[in-house]
Amino acid sequence: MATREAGKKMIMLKSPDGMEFEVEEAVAMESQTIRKMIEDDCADTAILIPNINSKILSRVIEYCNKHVPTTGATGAAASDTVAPAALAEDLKIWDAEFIKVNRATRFNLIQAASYLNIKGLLDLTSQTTIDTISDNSLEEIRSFLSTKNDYLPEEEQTIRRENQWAFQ
Amino acid sequence: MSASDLPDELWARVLELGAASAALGFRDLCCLAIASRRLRRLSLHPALWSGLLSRDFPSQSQPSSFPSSSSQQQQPDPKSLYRTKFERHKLRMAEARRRAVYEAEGRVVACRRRLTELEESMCAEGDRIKATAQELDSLERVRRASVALNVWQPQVVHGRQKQLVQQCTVPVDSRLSALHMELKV
Repeated sequence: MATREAGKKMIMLKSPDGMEFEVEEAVAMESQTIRKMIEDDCADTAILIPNINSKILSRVIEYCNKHVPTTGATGAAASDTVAPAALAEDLKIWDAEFIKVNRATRFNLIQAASYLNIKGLLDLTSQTTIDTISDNSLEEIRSFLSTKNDYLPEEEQTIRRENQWAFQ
Repeated sequence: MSASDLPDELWARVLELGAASAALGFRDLCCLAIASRRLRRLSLHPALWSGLLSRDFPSQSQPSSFPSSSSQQQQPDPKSLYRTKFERHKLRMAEARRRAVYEAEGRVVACRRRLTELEESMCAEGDRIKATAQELDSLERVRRASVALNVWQPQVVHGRQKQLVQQCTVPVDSRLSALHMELKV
């Protein structure tokens, strides 16, 4: 990475609704997608992030900002000063707080994390989604995923019978 | 944005992560299958069930994963394979439980029998105690009687002898007088 000696190089991220976010390159590089763009020298001006509105993008940047010292390019230098275990614990608490968002935001975050290829964020959002699915009743799952029951009544009977074995 | 707007591949990834981290079990996947057509399609992904198979039935997954690569067509899909194994496992567990219950019942019967035996022998022992006490009682009476005998016997014997002597003297006299009368005659 040739940018290290230049200090903190800033990158401009643009959301489709016209907002611009100036972030450190190291922070932006938490996203493998942006890292690739930077490494391919496609990022000399501003990077337009399609499909991700400014509200979600700002949250994503917030996440990257928090996570950059441990996983980013400068991670080795930063984590020397703090005990890694305490730092990880701290991050976990921060993550738990960060993910306390409404359903729509969480699904937006999943999509953004997937598009920007931020593994940590994708895992975090996915895991939270899984946690709400697991050990919940059918109705809770349907309402949580805002899924309509699109089976015909007799079809549903068949499906239920097919899956009855798991609930006995 | 809601869950239904999330593309399939993202959903697949979410579910895969859930299955890999053991947060999603077979019951959750079956629940998803009932929820809607789309979720059913997603929940049927073979990789999910293969993962569950090797996680929940690790000992049996080696032989089944081996032919799955070579003979895909005759291998049932992972979900029904999981179901078969699950039901077999459940049956085995129920059998084991039943066996354990039988064994415990057997132990209870044995204990009960032993208890009856003990009670019986306790009864017998009680009877013996009673008999021994009775024996002891009569022995005590005998002892007391023999003591009394020892104390009173000398006097009794003495009196008897005297009586005997008296009895003896009478016939001598009478015999003498009889002799005298014979001589006179």
